[in-house]
Amino acid sequence: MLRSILCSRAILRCSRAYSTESITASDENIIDFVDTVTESSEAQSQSFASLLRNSKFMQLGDFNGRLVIGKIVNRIQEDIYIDFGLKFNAVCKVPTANSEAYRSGTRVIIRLLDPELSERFLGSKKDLTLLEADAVLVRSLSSSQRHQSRDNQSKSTPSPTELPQETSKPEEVISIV
Amino acid sequence: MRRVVSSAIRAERAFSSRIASLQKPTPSTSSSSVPDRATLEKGTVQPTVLKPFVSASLQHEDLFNFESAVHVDEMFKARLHYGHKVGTVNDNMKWALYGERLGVCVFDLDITKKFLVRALNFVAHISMRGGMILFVTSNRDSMFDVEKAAEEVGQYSHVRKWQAGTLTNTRQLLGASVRLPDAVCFLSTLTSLGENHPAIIEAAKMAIPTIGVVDSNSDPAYLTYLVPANDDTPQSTEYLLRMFKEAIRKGQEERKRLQQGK
Repeated sequence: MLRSILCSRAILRCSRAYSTESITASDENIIDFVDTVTESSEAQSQSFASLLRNSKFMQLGDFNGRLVIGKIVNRIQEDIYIDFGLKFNAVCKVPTANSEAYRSGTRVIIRLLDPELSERFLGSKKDLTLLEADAVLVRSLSSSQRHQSRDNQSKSTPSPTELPQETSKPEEVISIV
Repeated sequence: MRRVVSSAIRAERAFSSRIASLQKPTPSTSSSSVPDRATLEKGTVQPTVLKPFVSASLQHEDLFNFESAVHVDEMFKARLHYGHKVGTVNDNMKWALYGERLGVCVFDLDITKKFLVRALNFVAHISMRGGMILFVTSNRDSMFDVEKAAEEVGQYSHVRKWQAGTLTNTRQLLGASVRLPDAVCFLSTLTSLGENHPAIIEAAKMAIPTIGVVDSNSDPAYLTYLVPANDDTPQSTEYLLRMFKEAIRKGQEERKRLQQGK
């Protein structure tokens, strides 16, 4: 049990692209273990069904209103294109405050509304798609390290199902990428 | 009808002689190289009757062993399984879908793998015979990647606006008789307006085999080899291009090996 908790915690850290955290000496063997896990020795033998079942795409649940971490892949004047790990990029306007911080490569938190903007117009048999996702930019991730570390701690507590749903607790942010 | 058959016979002869010249170093198992007229006529309706007459290398389902080169987890990581919303789905693409998740179509990567291996095998065979492959896309995000990938392996690409008749009317457009590609590979089969790429029909008219990456909203009609996968995300296109490049390289290496063995 403890092993699995540690493992899940370390994987979380891995998925955050080794976000700068102080790693204690006792953690090193865990890191080794995680490396072997992430080297996809078991992932290669996994079937598509189990890959999909355990994917973040499934864990996301209902898309509407979920907070997800994305990466800015392109900026064209005041529009930023955010890749958050699904099929399409989300297109958001750059906020006026601290607009210089939103360059390509920056990680941001967005509130996902719709993974693909598509609508059926009157008389057509199929939806017309805009080939982009609908999301609202919440803030840049780098400007809120404190918040993120708090989020990390809340994630490393026993298991997600046992998490008490406090109103003061920050919403869970999912990173699909 | 008579004319069609005779032209098919001629094409078949030309093809088989080309294969035979390639296959000289390895003794071919099927010794009676040219099928008789009745068999050829039957072959226009049921091509499988010609199977004993093609070279031994073509009898193999997966000659270049792509089955071990294509991994479901890699495809998963490259986001090949994401389809469009269910409202946009094409009825003829439902066979490739695993299902839908809250309105988003998801491809079954086991099916995708089977079809990708088949397409890669075909690409490698074309490349082994010195064929010319044209990569076509109309996706703005991936056009430069496609151009670069095609150039890297010495093949060709067309990623800009398709002028009607580029394949069917070369004499008028280019003023000279040009060699048409031996296979056309579509990295996305829809234009930005959601219409089918005009090159699909043109390639079909000129009897050029096509490979098409078809998304859940694409129309698979007139394409020879289908690869049901996500064609919108850059990561997905990158992965597919990498596999196609590898297939072409494998074919080229095999070709070199065969020529040196002569």
